[in-house]
Amino acid sequence: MQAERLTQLREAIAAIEHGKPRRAPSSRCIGGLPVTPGFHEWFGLADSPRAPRTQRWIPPLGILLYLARRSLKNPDHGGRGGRGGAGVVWIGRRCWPFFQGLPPDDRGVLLQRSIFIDPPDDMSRLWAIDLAARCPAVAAVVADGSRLDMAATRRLQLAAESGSALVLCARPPEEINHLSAATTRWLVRCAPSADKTPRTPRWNVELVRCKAMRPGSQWTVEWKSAQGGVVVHAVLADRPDPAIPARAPVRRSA
Amino acid sequence: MARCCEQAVAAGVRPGFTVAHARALLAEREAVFRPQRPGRDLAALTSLARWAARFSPIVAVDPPDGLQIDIAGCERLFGGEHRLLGLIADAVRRLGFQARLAVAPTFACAWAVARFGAADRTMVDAGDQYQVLADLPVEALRLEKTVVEALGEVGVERIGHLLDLPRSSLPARFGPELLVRLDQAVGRAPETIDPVPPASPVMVERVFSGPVKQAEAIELTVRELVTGLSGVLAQRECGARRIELRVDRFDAEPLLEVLELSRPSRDAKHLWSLLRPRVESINLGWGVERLCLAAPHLGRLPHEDETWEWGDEAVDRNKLDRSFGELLDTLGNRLGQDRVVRAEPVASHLPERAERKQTGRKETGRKETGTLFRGGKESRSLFSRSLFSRSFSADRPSLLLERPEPIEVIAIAPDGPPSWFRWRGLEQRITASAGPERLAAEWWRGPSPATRDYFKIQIEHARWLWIYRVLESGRWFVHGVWA
Repeated sequence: MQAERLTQLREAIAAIEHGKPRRAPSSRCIGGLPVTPGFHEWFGLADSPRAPRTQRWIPPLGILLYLARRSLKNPDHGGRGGRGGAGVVWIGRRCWPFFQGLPPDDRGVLLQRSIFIDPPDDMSRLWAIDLAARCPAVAAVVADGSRLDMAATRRLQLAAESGSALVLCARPPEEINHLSAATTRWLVRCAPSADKTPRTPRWNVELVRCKAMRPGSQWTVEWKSAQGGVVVHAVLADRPDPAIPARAPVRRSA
Repeated sequence: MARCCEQAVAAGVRPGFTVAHARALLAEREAVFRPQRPGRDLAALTSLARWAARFSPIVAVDPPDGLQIDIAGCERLFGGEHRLLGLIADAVRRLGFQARLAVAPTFACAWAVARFGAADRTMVDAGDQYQVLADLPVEALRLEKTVVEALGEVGVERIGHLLDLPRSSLPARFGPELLVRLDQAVGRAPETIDPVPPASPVMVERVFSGPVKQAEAIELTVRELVTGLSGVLAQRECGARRIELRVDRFDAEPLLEVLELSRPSRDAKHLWSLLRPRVESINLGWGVERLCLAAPHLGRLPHEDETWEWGDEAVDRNKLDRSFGELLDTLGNRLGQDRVVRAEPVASHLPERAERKQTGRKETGRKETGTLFRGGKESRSLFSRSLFSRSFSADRPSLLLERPEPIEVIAIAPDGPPSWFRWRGLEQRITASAGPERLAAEWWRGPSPATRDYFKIQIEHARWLWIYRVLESGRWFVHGVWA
């Protein structure tokens, strides 16, 4: 009862501040992860701490693919996901995923409603993300968010608030200490496979920063191409993986 | 009954029967009866005539069921009358109509042969019309019913009989019309047809009284033109797919700014937002004398009520479609059309061929060809989209490298997975692997010896990679990442 009252009050205050009611991110989740329409940064793909440092940056596309698909499916998301008109925009050549990993039904729908954009420079990339985030017919924007500065993230955050799209920016793990105005920031790391399913890629997802939630929660997600790309393990959810030493949450005032 | 299909004719039904009679004859079959609407038939015939303007500029409607095309001079463009006739017949059949065609020196002769001749397609050479017409019944001359009956009473049933009779006695007994029709058929009397006017182009223009050099005035005028154009488009229930702005300058060659749209639109605000950067960068030279805004390519766009919110799903979807199209246009206009692409599944088992990227406009352009009639190109894409994409599911990575990256490898077993490799300058030890999965080259594309054995491998506590070995050369590549 008290919690309900608190939520109402919070929404009322948000309505006064922003001109429209804004719910706390935890009230609506996509696929078990507290991702709601808004601006989110995904840092990754980082290797697990035990592995040697490797290679050029590769965005955590498995999870982003999954979230984009869920955003189309979920009728609660923006109130139009189930209608079939909204689309997904993939911005930046590095963030163009390979759809064959998804189950056939999902693949077809997502592929038909996707457009891919290859901006020539950083400025036009930011402009394209901004434009797509404001478009009412876009359910999700998945973008290459590398080299975004504080002003740019603030602009995207405002754009995401004015529209109702899910804006997912993939950023290299080295940029996790940069300032940002994102609603949530996530760190994706490779995790060792479970003993039961030895040949399935797994990732450890950590909520590094969140505006209305306590950061530091961790999830383990598993790639299952037969079941919609990514499966969030309910059992493992919100529990640190014993294989990975829990790290202190990185908090930045933004 | 006004019309019936071939199957109904085979069952004994003829035009002119009552519906009850036809129903009785077609009792065993599933017959569909539709009310006849002469107005709609005529409208469809008119649009078919417009469509037929691709064969000749002079096309006339011949109600209730005919088209008259003046092909004199046009047959050269199509490689002769025979080929033109074949082209028209094929095209009409593809639209889903049955047609009987005849080419003759006169319209009346072609009319008669097409309706009463023996074959579906007939060519009558100049001078042969007497022989061809002689065998046809007198109805073929487009005579009044009373005249045909009067001729029948005296035993004249064929046009040949009529030609044998003395000309001077005919008007007195059967009226003056008979002789005119007869002369028209053989080419002794002229006959004119009333061609369908071509659809007028969607165009608005402003002519200035003198050369105008103020950029603000030009901008304002273009803006007015855009509003005017969207009004014209709204009247026609159309949207523009392509917009051309022609700027006639004083003492200089005219400028043409072309705007391609991803889906038909007549939203003045949207069009202006696309046109504005173009207009601002126009070189005005010594001044502009005339501005002309035209929409040469149109697409059907149903009428919309802009102010009323129905909250209906269909309306909502329309709106979503529109704003998505506007997003595509804006992106494509600024970044370049080749930087905004869509993907289409392709029936191929090779991973790099499984998705074809193409610019947004091509895809939508093919979807919305024609306003009234549709081409038959959909079957192939339907196949690749539904059948293949449903049947095939395998473990595939979430990221495919644009081109496979070569790696150096140490493998223990000759055909097995590697145990160590060097990729992007770093040495990696492999801790887990799955495979091989063999993908053969597509032999139907020609001889390319590149059978691949794919392995899914994990490097030390970290990411999973998709690597393959080319069977023939033994070289290894990284192709994808489970990222």
